[in-house]
Amino acid sequence: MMSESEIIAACLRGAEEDFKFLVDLYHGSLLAAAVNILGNREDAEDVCQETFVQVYRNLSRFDQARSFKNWIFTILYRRSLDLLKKKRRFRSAFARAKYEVFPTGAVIPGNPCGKPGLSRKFLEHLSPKERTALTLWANEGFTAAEISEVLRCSASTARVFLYNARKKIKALLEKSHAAFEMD
Amino acid sequence: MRHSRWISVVYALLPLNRWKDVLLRGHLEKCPECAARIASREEVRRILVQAGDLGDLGGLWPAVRRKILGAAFDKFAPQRPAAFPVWRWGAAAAGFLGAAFLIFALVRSFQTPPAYGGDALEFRSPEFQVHYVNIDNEPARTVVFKPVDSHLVIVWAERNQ
Repeated sequence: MMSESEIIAACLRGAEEDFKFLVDLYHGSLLAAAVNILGNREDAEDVCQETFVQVYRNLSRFDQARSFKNWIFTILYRRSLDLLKKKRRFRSAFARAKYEVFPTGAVIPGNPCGKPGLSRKFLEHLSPKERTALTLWANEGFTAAEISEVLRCSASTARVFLYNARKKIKALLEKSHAAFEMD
Repeated sequence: MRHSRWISVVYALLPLNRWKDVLLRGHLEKCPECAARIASREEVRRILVQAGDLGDLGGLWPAVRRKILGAAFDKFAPQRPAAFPVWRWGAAAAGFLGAAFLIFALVRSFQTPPAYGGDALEFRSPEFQVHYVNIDNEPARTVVFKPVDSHLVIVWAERNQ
């Protein structure tokens, strides 16, 4: 198994096929992050594809002293924001979003109500920056400093985004639990 | 409970993220009562979509491959110029400076006192003032009449004998 830096070096030498290893390595986590940010699998797949193409085209500009994971997530975030801007109004985009991430109708593990698509109801209360911070923190284990590099803000601001998102999620979870118990 | 509500109010009132961050690190992340009011990593993970929830991921590589192979061929295509090259910044700066100079010149032309037989008058708003009057480059004897209850100002200047 080639290491990340070996794959990058091979791609820079012109071995396009080796880029598949990077795609395989990051595809799942990037797609999950994009779905969480955009709320729509189709858009998320488009953004993932654009991200990988942009990564390939700009591989020579990548500073190998920095984290590749951080760089690729930064590109994904920028592409996601571009898509949201294209759709002009985020709320209308989210209202139109179709959640197709659970095609078998599987129950989300640990979901208090056990209904697929419930996560959308939580996530639509958060801004794109809050959703990005939350996804990177919870799914990828990013620190506030790493999140701040992706969001291009200070570490303080990233911590505030994350705190606000976690607070909103907690309040929504408690509300959802209360509603579930009343039913 | 009341304690964490007060802290939440203080947090909401702080205008700068930097100050909020100080409160976050100094108290909110350490106090168990306040920490209970924010979702843990596990709780957040339960509502977020994970890579494992996405099912088949096989379709992306062929599409990416097609595009990057296209990109490889594009390397032989002529390079597109930068979206906003340096000379455009220079042109924009020069245009801005030219416009600023034009506006400055126009404003100054409106402020220049009207010439009157070689006299140099200087007006100052809102009151009328005459600093000096020259006739043939010699200081003239000048009298200013300002009738009461009138906006009329009469300046009488005569050559010094």
